[in-house]
Amino acid sequence: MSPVSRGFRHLHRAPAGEEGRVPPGQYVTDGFPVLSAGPTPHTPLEAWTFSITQGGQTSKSWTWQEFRALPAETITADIHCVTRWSKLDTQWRGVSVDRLLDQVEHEAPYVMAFCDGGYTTNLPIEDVTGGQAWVAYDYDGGLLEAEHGGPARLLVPHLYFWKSAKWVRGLDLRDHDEPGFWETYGYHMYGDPWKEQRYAGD
Amino acid sequence: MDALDGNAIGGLLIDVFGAEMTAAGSTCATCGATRPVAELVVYRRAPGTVVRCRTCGSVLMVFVTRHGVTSVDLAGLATLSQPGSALSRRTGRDRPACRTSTQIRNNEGIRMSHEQSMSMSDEPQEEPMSMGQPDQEPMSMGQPDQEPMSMGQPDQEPMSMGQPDQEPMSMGQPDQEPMSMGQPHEDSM
Amino acid sequence: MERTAVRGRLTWRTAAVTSVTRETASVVTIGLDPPDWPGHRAGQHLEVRLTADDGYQAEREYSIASAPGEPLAITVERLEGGEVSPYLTEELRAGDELELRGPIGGYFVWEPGDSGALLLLAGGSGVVPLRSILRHRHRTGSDVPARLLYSSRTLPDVIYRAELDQHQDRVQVSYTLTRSQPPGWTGYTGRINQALLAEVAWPAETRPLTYICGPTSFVETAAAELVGLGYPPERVKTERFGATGGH
Repeated sequence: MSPVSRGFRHLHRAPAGEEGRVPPGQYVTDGFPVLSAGPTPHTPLEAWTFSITQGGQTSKSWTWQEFRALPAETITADIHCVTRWSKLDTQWRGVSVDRLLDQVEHEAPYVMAFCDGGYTTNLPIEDVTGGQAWVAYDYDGGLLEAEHGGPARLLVPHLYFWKSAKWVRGLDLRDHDEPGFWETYGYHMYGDPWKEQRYAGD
Repeated sequence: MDALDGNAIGGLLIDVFGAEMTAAGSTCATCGATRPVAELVVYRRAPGTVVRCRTCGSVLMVFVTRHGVTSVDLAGLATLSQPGSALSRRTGRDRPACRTSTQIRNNEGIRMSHEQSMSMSDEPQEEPMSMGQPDQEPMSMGQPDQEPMSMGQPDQEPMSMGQPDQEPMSMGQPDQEPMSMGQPHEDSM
Repeated sequence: MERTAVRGRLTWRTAAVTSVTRETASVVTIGLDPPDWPGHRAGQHLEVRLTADDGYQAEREYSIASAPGEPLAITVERLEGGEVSPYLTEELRAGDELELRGPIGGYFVWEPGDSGALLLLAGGSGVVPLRSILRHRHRTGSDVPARLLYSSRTLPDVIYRAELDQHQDRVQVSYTLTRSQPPGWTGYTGRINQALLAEVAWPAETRPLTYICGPTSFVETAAAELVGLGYPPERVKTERFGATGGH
């Protein structure tokens, strides 16, 4: 048993009365920790595109200007990182994934989000539709910073935040659920924070 | 967020390999660049620790700790050599689909990944387990239906994690506290 | 089975905190007395672990400031918004306990038998392991020539200043201040660059042995500039601290 460090305050507790908002094993933070598996990409906006792909083909693609012209929504959400921090009432602005997928004919049950820098993460289609997911480019009233995933990141607040892929460049429609980056290294294929699905087999 | 280097994972490497490894030599399986582990690029504040080649950026090692067990994926490395010893690990460079994964249970010796043939008992070990003795055969880490992958080449000295004239290195003591890493927390918000 | 010291195992130990000494406004040196401490090599570091009463734990690495054979000490800089460093630099006091394990490291270490004139480049709190190396060099009576180039934001940010100034006969110390300088400052100003290194560093053809420690950007700039001056990369050892204050 580790000795308790005298006077080491753990500041990260849920606000009084709001404990029910915090999934098991999580701590609330005021900050916004930067976690990354690689260097921050810096794709110039004139080169940036967002694409829906299937079977090696691009079904639909938007340039940055086209993307920004799409109707956008403001989202307020609690987010939960698998490393145990949660942040309440985060504010975003972005395009609903429903709106993007509506532009494409498909019957795919799964998607693989792909990103600058090579990061990927897999999700069921039903978890990125029905108003549960966005491609977000504004955070907290301003442009999403590069270290937090800007120019745009996926936002899927009901799953652990590694599924909200930073630097997202598109969704690849898939017939099968295949593991993305962290899933390949042992993280859970689905990642429901309320069931503490952190690792494969949880 | 600035990346660190292999010095920052010195403790993690000891936990996983049972030896000081920051001075060990590495070869990137993608571009062939060689450098000490200490000079590799390390991203710590993540769901796992990711170690990348400083020359080409490819992922060389990924450490994930789940439920007290730290596992490491070394598929991006072509070689990892402990200086001054016969440890020279050839990973699946000629088998691109192969991933070799070593799980080290912190307090109970080596536990092989579920992907591989269990050349050692799956049960927690009562005695400390050696990585290899100078007079034993190299340890095998291969798939059950393939040729075992040797930790050393057949015509080389058997692998030893320590100096040949010292006691073999043990990987665990049964009565130690399990190590828990706690959760990484980003210092700078 | 009898438990013997196992090579390669790092155990957590609970150390008594013997002293907390303020070095600068944001830096303290913590004296530690861990049970059965095996000793260390100059340049190595420790891991420190804090535990809150709800079981929450946080771990960080800190370079050892003391030389082998001296009472164990680490020097810690408070990072803005940090979780562990504010506790260590503002709350911890003599008589407390601190969980640690180590020593760790085998690349960024120096022994008196290592050949080559020593060149030490420090950015901010990167001076800590280099100070361990310098104290070890002195305690072992090594006559290897040594130069330290130490970059800090301001003069009050310079750690160990009295000690470094006092021993200019043993090691040539050059300071560069990057943010502001006191009136009448005769040291260097601004971030290190190739011109400054050309002036201060040993000539490359003498095959010096170099240790660079500090924030990642400092280390990478310094290392690239030294290589540009003809320093062989394999004799330039680097330790990156990530983005920090103090430089």
